Amino acid sequence: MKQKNRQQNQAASPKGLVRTQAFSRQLLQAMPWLGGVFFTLFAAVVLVGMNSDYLFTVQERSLFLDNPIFFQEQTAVPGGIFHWAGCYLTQFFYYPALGSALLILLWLGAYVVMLKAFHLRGGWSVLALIPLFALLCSIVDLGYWLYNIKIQGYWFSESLLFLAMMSGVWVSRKMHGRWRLLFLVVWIAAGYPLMGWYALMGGAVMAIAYASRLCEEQNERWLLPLLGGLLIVAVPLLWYYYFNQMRLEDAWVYGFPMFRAEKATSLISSAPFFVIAVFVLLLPVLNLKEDGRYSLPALLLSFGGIAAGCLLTLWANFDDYNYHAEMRMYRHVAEGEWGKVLDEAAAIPDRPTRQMVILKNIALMHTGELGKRAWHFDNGGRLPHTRDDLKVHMVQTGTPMIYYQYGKFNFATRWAIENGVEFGFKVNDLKILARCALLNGEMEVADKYITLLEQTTFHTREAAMLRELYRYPERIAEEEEFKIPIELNHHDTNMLDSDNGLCEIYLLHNFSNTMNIDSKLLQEVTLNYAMISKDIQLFWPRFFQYATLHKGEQMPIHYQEAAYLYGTLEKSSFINGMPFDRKQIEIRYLYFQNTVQGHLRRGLSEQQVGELVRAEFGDTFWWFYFFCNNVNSY
Amino acid sequence: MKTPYYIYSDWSRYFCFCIILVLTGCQHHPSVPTEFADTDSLPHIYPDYTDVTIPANIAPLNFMAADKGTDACVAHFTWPGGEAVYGQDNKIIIPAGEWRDMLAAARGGSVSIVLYTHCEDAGKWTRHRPFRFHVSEDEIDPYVSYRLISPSYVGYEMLGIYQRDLTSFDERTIYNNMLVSGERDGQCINCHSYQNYGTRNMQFHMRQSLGGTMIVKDGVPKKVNLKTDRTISAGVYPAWHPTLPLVAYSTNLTGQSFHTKDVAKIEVQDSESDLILYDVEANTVSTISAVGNELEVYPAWNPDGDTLYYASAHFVFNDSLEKDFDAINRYQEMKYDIYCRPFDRTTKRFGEPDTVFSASAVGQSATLPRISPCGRYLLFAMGGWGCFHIWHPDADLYLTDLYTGETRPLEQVNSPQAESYHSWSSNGRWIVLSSRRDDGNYTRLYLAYFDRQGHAHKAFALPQHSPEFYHQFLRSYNVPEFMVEPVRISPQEFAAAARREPVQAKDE
Repeated sequence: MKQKNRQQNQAASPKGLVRTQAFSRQLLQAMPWLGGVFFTLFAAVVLVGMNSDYLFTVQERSLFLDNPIFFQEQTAVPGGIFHWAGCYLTQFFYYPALGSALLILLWLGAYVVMLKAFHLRGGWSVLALIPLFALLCSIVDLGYWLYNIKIQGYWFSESLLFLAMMSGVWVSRKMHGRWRLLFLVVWIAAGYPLMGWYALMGGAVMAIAYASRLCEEQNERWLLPLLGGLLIVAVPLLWYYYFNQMRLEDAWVYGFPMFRAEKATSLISSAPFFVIAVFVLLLPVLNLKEDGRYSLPALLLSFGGIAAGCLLTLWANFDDYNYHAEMRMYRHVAEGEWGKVLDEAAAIPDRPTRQMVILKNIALMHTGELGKRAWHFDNGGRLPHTRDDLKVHMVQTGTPMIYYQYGKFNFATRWAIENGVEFGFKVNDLKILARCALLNGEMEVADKYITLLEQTTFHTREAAMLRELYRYPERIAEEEEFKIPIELNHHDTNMLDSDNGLCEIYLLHNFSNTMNIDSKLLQEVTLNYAMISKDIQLFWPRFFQYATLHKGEQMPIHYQEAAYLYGTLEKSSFINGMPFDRKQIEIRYLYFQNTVQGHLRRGLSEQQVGELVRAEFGDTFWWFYFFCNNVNSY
Repeated sequence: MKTPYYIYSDWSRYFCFCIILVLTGCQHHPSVPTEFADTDSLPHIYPDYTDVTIPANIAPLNFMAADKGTDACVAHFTWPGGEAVYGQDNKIIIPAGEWRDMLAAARGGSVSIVLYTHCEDAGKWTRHRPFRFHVSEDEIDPYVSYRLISPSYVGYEMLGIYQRDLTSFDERTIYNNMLVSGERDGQCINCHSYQNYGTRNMQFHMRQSLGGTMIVKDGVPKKVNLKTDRTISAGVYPAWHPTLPLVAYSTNLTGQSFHTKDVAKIEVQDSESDLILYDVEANTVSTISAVGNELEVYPAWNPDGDTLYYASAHFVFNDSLEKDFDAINRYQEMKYDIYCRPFDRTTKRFGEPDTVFSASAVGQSATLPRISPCGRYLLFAMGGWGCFHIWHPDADLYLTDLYTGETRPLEQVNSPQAESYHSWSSNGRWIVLSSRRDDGNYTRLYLAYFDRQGHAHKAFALPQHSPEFYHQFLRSYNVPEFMVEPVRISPQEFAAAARREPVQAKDE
């Protein structure tokens, strides 16, 4: 009879439509595979193609130590064992492609488990990609929360926990009768210390599944959900008396990723997890079963869903140029690749952040081109872009490295430790701490930090280099990396001071008020900072001192620019006797002033004039002096 | 309802404990190498337990061969009536049961240890000069409590006060600030103190969020606000009267600033400082000392409770400057001396101050006076200036014999790095002290025997199961206090008390 109907339908349908329907059916049947493959490719592009610099930074801002204390500290809270495992896996972002491959494998595992747990077949399998897209978003949407996150191993732990939760749901679906009851009790009661919120959520999904039509045994349909509900309420309360680091009010949501800083909360960053929670709770209720009908709309809907996931991920992906460039510059500074730092600085399309400007100046200090090139780059200062009300502080994003490079070892140590205390110690902190201890002559504590670095997986080579210096401290001064920090530190004098959490303001105040004749390097840094401060009175003594220390040498162009500008502004006669470069300074300054005055006379605002002349004079100190205002240090 | 004591240990600690049990269960006794070279030098071990005097009830003194390149070691222990050989890689881990038997047999005598170390590069064994554990007849108090804190500067996150069973490696939480701290309402905790080594009457402070002083009276916790209109701050450094329901406190306005280059890194100074007395039963605060230009701090009772010792610096502030700026500018001029005041237990009144030790006369600064339970010895920390000696590498412990007036450094206890906070055991035979001798930055606890002749013996690190523990641990120990019994109030009970509104103390 069926065959007859089909023949009739086929006879009634145009041939093309039949072929389309057959193709749709095949595509829908292959949708679980197609979805998985497509997601894999997309995730690989987003992670490796668009976020390699970020992922490398992630592992620098994470830590896994192969010792029992680390394990004990991580596992002292519900879900801690997954965070410990997350810390271990996060290390693999040292090679972003390798870490990404592991993460994608984990997601594919979760995808397969979800398909099984919720019997998602055909077009419905696309739904199982929703949590995967959410998890992908949770990785790439962090932005500057990267520097504020307190969830250890976050980049893997949440995916591991999700996989564990889904596996539990799957196993529970395989069980029947009293085994199902027992499993629910064990899952929530014993799972809570291991998984925290995820155990409760898994329990809730199981309970809802039991209550829904998916549960065939009618007598359990209400008993199990009721029991699940009671356990969800009672178990966290009981475990609260076991764990000593958890607030009672947090017991039911412990392990749910929340992003809170002192004055900010990010719902955007938590959004993927809300999506996951709602999704897994709804899935059992929806009772999605294949009905055997394959249609073009269903197919389009499936592909549309995937496309929507991709678009949402691309929207969530934090692709702020400065954010990524800052990370690359930091890495180049850490690796002493000064040319690459300057290349990055030169490529910035918009205004940089102050951290980028400082890193650029550090690179120029190392290449000996401060006076020659410092103002060839944009020296502005845009605040780091955030999507919420998070306030980014340089003390968290780069201050220890900046202080270290400027030879302020105590302050570098201070902020590495402050950050370590608040957010958990990171590889990055240990590297700075070990270096500062070595350069401060605090060999015993250097040994401690080097020992810890030796317990990481991918930083052992650097640890070995530091270990050699620990064993042979006489070699420290010969290391190229240390020469400038040592010289700056050597000529520093001790005093009681504080930066009040503002690294750049402190450096500006400290260096621009320092007078030094013993070190050409330090003297030039003080001159550079006097120029950044735009303080004429601070400039002149440092300028003359520079000239004295560099007798017979060509005066770098920016110092000439500043001297000529200040001399002109003060109408000082003594600049008449100075050997300024006629073409680069005297004629160009005249041209600059004429151009600017011309624009101003046309009634343009100072800001408009600045933008107009930027292309021509943006590489001069003059432009910085007159038009680079509203510099936001943070 | 009280929570049973044993349910609040961290599960991870329990997990680790199980692993340790399994591992120690597998402890084998290796054989002593047959071929080796002899050396006359003592072995380089960590922690340094060579020739130390230890109590018979202490946890095993596990140690490791500390020379780089040593890949294996074997230790041959001999004691009256027994011997044993231990060694696993470069560590010596002694099973708790065997250790207890060993010390019981050696009580009043000693255990001799011959260490053989194997150098990976040379491929040879070396036998070192033997060293001893001298096992004292005098037991140590079974518990010590301390705060664990990262060696932070301004910020803090997780802080905990813990109690360690000295007869084992068991460490339990007394209170952890994360039980009440949120992201925007962090809580600092500090200054735990007990009445006469017991824990039914004790206290510690909570600052910032849910702030107040947690006073435990007869085992019942209560949060009190000790700041009154007449005091410059709430209570800070405490001293429980040995028998009466009274606590002496300093009140301080404290600031800290940072050395730009000096390895000491931090200076902590008071710009104002007084002493008050809190009557726990009457809930009243009275002033002990509030003299202008005197910075009184660190009160400590003598064992009879009829004299209060304290440190005080005479510091005349420059009127033209803010006090805290002046304190920063002239931090090296702050020199603390040690004073005492007689106390009338009936009237609860104090007499006039008397100088006990004038450190300023020798250009030094003495703090943290602690009187031995026998009442004869004054133990204090002394450094070049200031009152926060844990940040001063030159700070050492000194002892004054109150009978003879003689003052001397505790040379057997001191190190080139900072020694600071210290406490006597209840029998006066043991001292626990904070020291940065390991690395100059992280404070560790050291124990030292103090014999009947008034001599301190070599200090040894608080034993941990893993000899590598201190190399890997990124927090400092501070304010070590001996206890004869554990705190039985659960951390959650303290948290519940912390959430309640504090009882306001009244001015007397």
